[in-house]
Amino acid sequence: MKGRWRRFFKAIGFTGTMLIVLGSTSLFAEFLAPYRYDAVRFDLPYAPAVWPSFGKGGLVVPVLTLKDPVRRRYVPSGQTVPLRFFCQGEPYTMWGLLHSSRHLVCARAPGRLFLMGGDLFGRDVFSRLLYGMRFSFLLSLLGVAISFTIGIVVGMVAGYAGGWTDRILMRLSEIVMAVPALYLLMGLRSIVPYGLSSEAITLIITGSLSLIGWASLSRVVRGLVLSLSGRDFVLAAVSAGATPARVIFRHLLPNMRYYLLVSVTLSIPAFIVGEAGLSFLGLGLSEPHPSLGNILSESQSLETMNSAPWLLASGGLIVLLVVLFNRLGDVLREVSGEGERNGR
Amino acid sequence: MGLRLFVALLLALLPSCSRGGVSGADRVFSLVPRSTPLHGHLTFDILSDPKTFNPALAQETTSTQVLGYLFRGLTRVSPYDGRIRPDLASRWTIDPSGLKVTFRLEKGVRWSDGVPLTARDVVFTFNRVYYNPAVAAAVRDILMVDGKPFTVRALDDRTVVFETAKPFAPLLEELGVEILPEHLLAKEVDAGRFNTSWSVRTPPVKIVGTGPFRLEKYVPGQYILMGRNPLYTPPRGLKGPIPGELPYLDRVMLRIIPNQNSELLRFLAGKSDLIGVSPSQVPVLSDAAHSRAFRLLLRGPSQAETFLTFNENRTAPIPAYKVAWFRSRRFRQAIAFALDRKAMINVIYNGLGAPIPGPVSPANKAFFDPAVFRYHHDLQRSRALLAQDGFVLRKGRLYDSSGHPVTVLLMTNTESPERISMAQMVQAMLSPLGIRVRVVPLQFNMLSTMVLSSHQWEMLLFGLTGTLDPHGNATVWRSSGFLHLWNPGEKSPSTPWEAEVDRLFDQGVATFDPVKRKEIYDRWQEIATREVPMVDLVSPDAITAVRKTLGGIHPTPLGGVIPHISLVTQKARLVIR
Amino acid sequence: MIRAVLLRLSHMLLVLLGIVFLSFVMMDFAPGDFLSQMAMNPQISPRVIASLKEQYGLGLPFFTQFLHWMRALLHGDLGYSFSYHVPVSDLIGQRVPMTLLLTASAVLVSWGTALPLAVYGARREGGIVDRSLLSFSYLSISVPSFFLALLGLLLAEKTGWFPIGGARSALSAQASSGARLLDLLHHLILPALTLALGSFGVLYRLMRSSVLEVLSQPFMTAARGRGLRERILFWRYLFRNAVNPLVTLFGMELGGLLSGAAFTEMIFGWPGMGRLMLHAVMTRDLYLVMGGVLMGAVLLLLGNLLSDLMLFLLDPRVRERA
Repeated sequence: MKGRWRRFFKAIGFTGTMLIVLGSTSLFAEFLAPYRYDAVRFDLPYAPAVWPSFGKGGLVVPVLTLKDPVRRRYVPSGQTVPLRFFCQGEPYTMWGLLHSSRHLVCARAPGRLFLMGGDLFGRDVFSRLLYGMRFSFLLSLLGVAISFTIGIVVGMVAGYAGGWTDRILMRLSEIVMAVPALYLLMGLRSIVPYGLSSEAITLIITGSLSLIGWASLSRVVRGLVLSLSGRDFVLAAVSAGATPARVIFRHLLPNMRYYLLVSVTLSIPAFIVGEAGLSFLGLGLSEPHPSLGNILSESQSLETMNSAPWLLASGGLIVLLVVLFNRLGDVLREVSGEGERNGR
Repeated sequence: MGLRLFVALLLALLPSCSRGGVSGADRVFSLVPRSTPLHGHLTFDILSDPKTFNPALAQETTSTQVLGYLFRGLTRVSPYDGRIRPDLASRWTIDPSGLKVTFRLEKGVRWSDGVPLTARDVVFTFNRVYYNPAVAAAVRDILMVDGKPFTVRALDDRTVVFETAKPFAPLLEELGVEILPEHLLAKEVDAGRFNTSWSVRTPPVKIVGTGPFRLEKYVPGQYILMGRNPLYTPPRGLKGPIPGELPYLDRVMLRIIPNQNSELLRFLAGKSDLIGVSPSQVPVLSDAAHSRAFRLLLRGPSQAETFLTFNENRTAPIPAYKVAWFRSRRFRQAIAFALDRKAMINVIYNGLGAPIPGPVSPANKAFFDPAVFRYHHDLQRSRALLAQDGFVLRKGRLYDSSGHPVTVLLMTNTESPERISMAQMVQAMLSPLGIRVRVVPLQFNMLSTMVLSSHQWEMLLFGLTGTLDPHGNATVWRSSGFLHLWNPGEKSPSTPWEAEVDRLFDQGVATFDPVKRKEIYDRWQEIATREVPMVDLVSPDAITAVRKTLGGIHPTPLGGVIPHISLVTQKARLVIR
Repeated sequence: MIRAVLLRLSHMLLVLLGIVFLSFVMMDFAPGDFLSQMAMNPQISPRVIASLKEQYGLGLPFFTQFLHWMRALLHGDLGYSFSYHVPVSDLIGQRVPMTLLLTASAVLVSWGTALPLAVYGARREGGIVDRSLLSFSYLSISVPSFFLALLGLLLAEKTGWFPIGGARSALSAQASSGARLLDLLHHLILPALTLALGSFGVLYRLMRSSVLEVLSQPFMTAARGRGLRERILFWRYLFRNAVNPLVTLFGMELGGLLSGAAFTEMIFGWPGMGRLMLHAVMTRDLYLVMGGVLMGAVLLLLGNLLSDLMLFLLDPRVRERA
């Protein structure tokens, strides 16, 4: 058992391990984050990072006071509060079923632990990033699942069946692609009833992004099917009387997996970055719920970069996730390529 | 391996866009005086394209800003004291009945194509353009009393008479609307082409006005170039500090830069001469390295307002018990006491703003009543007021007397990040009272449909464009007004205080005596702050950054930093090393 | 072949109809219209708004509006922009060339660099060039385009090498056309580079993996075994096969020429279609939006047609099937 796990981690390498770590971190955000994503401190707008240090009675956190509201300058007030571990903090419900108020770390009231600084409302950026990362994971995995299912099915059917089926499906994909995405999204957003929960809005954003995403993929898949079905092994299978399902699953799909694998690893980041673009236009996840995109879009004005450069960490995290997914794709490709060579 | 290289790249990139990147501290500016302050060029950036060059059709601020340089009205508002001053009309007499005002036009005013301005142009502008139902003129309403147009007649070439069915005190301010040339536009009206005339595609020479500048070139999406109008006759009483004909500037260049970051960067790089600054941009601009090149002018609270209002409409498709909360004065006052305006200013406006006590901004010195009640942050009082209304707090949630939990949807529009931030602060500030607020940002179009047509809203955080004269608020405050947001278009006032406000507005519009008018509108402000159908929040300070090369700059809260464009000069050149 | 193209063209018309109908429905579906913007202005009464609504024909039933628009379209009239008070074709005519200039140069740069570099990188897989280009492509994929554009602006401000936004300086009227062209190109560099940088990553990675796949195919080994000359090996076998999956992408890229640069245009102040359309969608300027959708759709369909034709010419297997 142990050996299998080791082999698994070895196979997916450093990148995969990192992704698993990040994913589970975001999964346990409620526990790991010192504060809730919407816990505000209006007296600490854009407060800088406050790190714990050794003082009397163990680790302590200095308390900040806002000295100059115009330039958002802070000075330590001289007071400190002790840092505690596995402590009682704000109550939360994890995954909709686990009630608790235990956090990994907390600092008592006038003090505040800002590992990565605060945002405009004095909310802890570190906590928000954890929650935001969860949203990004959810959105991209779900989105890729939906758009790839639709895209592959449509592309396969169109490419394999040909004729009128092909024409109709491809025209359909053209229509979806030609109606400008932004415009489709705005239209979809405006017919969604207001006052929905954040989960519902997450689903809607994901759904609308993938509704646009499937079309281009289906065209590429179709192109691949067309070029593959001329190959000898497919022709042989067909003439040997293989059913279309068999041809598709045994011959076509396996031969496309390089391309699909690369596409998946490119699509996940595309969803993450796409959500950031939506946030830039104010169409993404709405505040106070954090997403990597809406934290980044908050940071993209010069004045914010000037007074709270740490908000750019969301951009850094987006970049990191994207790179990791891409690396994962490469690693998987290498692994499967080796397996293929050894297997046959 | 690739990853490591990449992280290194990223790290190298990030610091460059933080503090150091914005300040541009390595740049040295110096000022070289010009031999004469005349014949300068003024450059600044605007956020979007003008939509039309036809003053009667202009609806949004970019078009009206540009047209303000090209056209003039009969009167203008002094930026210093808010009083009405002569512009195209050199003087006027008000008939004691208050029903008739006779204007005498300034002598020798010519259109920029050389044709003299006459009373016929004024009559044409009103009777054939503004009052023409076939013209898409949005200003038509402010030029009417009780839905009836003014009667406009020319007595001779330089005398125009305006008659109204009822006395109309804001008349003089409203007559600041642009006057159009009959000799060019009459045929457009006749041909039914007026709605597409003087569009953004019209060659600049064909657009003829009486303003200090005339249009020279417009490149869509890029810039608008205006040159000095040699035929300009300054309004009576306008004199510059230095000898020379007005306007002092030769050219005004407006670059269209649709992004605030680029606008700011362009100003920092010395590409534009002045820039409107939001409070949050002040830290970027107040860097010492720049102090030699420009100054920051703070003019006190601006006219911009933000308020919170409640749906008090009994026929609205929301639960009736919610309407009952909102119709209670104590509930509204409790909300007003629960909001910490100082925190709002500190967080959203970097401490550069002021609370707005009532419907008239303190910046509007002529009409603001300093005696109005000012709500301060007082949760004890909020709780007491709610308790008087039978609300109870259980386990941190507020319930009304019939056991409904107090949960409210707060709507605002997505286009304004400031409003969204403010709504979130309201949400957080009401939670200690046990009130659950869910913020719903909607696109403007949707929001306005919700509020005005389907009435499907509970609380709204919004702002409306105000006018200096309180009568401009009539459509909001009269109970029959279509923008009487909390209960639009009432048949008859549903509360005694609304009835009194209606009476006050009727009196105010008919009273010419400034002292009596002020008393009337003071009373209105007292009622408004007692009943708080709209909880006024905060307003940012008006701030402009102005290059030190500019002369003729006088910051006032009312008129911005440029009291009159024709008095602006370029005293020096900016040299960047 | 000609029959196939004709068939495609007739389909394109149908698709076009579908697109405009769908867009019109979406515009109608969303609550409010161009005039709701004015409804919240205390100085404009509902009466004025009602009369404007009549003038603009916005009060008519949905199908009547659509039929009116279609009829005008058949006469080559795209309608009238409510906010600009000019015909839509005028506005689009001004903006399309600028956007095409920007996006076409970006496509030229990104394809012109990514393809050769990817072939080079793939043939020396794991080498220093390949590895750094791969990292660079990660960066290109992961940085959102609006952010990249912002970094570009900061660069311009800090170095002073490039103008900060806009597409032209206010040159004097006497400036020669050469000087004007140079000025335009100077303004073009940064936005085009940011755009190109954004699509470089995807292209590089796709082309690289495609080349790698072709290199591992038996026919390559066979061809090399036969002792074919490097050049023939490269063009006939490697490039031609590897570029296949990208041809479809190229067609899509053509379709995105008009709308793909909206963020970049907005941040750099480039007077293009994306910016115009974004504003039109936000203000619900109905016929302007429809005009833009139509232009974008035509370009996209042409792009798809072109990519199919290219596939047809490049790939004998597809040719046989048709």
